[in-house]
Amino acid sequence: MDKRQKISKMKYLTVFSITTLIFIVGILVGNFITNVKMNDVVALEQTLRIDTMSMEVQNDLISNDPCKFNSEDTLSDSLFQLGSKLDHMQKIKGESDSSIERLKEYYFMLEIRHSLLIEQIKETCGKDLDIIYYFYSEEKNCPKCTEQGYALTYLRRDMPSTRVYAFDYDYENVALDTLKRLYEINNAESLPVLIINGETHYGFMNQDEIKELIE
Amino acid sequence: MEFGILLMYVVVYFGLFTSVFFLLTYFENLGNMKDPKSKKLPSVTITVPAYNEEKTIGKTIESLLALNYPKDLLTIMAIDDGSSDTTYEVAKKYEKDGVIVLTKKNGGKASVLNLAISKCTTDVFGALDADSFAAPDSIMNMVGYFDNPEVVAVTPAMKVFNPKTFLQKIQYIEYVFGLFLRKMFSFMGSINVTPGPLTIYRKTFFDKYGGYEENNLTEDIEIALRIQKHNLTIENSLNAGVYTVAPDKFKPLFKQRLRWYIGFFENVFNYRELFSVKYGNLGMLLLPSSLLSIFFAMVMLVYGIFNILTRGIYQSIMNLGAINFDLKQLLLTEYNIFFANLNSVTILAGLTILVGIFIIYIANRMAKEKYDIRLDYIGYIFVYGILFGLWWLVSSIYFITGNRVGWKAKKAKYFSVKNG
Repeated sequence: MDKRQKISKMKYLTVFSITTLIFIVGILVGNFITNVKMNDVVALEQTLRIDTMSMEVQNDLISNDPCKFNSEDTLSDSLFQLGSKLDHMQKIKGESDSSIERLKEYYFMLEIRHSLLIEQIKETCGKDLDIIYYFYSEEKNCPKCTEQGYALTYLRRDMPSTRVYAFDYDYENVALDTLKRLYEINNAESLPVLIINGETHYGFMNQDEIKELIE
Repeated sequence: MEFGILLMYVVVYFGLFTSVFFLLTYFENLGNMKDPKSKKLPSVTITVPAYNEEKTIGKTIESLLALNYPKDLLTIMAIDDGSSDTTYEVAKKYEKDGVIVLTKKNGGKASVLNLAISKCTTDVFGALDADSFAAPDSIMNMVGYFDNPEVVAVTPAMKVFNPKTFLQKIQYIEYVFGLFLRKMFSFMGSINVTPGPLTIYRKTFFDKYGGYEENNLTEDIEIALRIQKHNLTIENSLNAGVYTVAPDKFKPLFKQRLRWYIGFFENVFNYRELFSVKYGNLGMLLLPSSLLSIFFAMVMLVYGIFNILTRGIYQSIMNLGAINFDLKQLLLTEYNIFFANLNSVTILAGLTILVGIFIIYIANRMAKEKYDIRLDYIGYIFVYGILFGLWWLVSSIYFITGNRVGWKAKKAKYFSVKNG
């Protein structure tokens, strides 16, 4: 046998070590970026918490003229951005990641609080705003939810006066359960469910159907 | 962990491992790239086996006549394998230049080579397919390796001749990559193919171990594995340029690859004893990693197609349906760096592609060609992987089902573009 054909254990070991090192570095860099993104989400959520609170306080302060100041537009955008980022992070970290689950649960609470503020502004200031609550579930339980989410994302961009609040049906806490009971959403099979300006609609609706109801 | 992500991790680790192995081999042997000079030039016979190659055989023979090698040590033979065109007549014109021109009943490339070996009286025997052209110094750069008595074959640096179409351009990169790999394989004592265009052999090898297998789909793989089985050495010369006309259309390319890949499976199966530590890097790394890369390419292709059809295309259509195919709404999409798919898997895949680009860069420098491959490399990355998986998938189905229909015709066993 030609001497070059002999297996150099040292070479295989070196290659294994270098490859593993590159692999570990790749994973660490990936995790670092994921952590940076997670910190961004957490920071955004904290900012939103303060912003929502400050809006509530503002409303109390100007209760005699609640329509004088209004900063709900930017808050709505931030809330939407947070929702998108949480979605993205859940895709990276997996459906069952506990840190994402906690953040999502808190996000839903922010959404409810924000929607109540919007209801108040809508009623007292006569603002032409449409409120949509959207209940979804993961793809295997709700195959049409991906398309419904897509339709609503573009609807929100197409009709800036529409406020969309998305809730994961599978999350259980007192506030979400109350919302479900309030609008009689008690069957996962009927998902997606849309509550458009207080009216419950079961099953998928395309953008035109939703627009028709709003207009 | 999701299957797709797990698959990506495994494929990336495998890709990185083999790439690092080849790069380490490259840096270990930076000082060994030059070809040795022959102490005493051997006599050489080069045969041009031809079947219906009237358009290119003239240029092939002329490239041999222009070889920078002593004329008294060089025999050029052109053998027509019962062509139905004017191949024989074209070759006959070169008899006045000392070329030996023969014709025989159609029997396939291996039968032509065996006839040539039976008539060969020189120290070294080689063949040059009738759609390939040798660089003037090619033989001179190769023969020095035969000073080592263990060397029985020397492979050239194969390149694609004048790539014009997109398919030829991505094959150009494939050949450049192959050029790098073959040199690394030679350093590892593990060359597993001795290409038809201009591999030269010590004539005594055929005397001792027999000629080409006439029923073999890829006689160049069979010969290489036979040499390895006998623990003999195959070398590679980076400076022995040989240019081959690559298929310019999908169909002939597909036929060519089916023949090569089914032939690979058959020969690797026949020589399965080589999968052993006894055969060094060939048995421990090269052959297993070849099979693994084929397996991964097929799984990735099937998984990718399944995902594109079910999730990609289907979901896109359904999503567009949800917005009533109002495409102008897509312009409202907001882009944000946050949503860039930067995670461990994509970073590792990107790293592997970077290592691949680095290897191609080295390979292109080794090829010493002026052709700019930068733009074609993008096409290579995106298209070649799919084609590679597809060819292997179809070939493995043919191999497993034992289907060789269409390959039994002996004329199909030429490297020719026309016949695949």
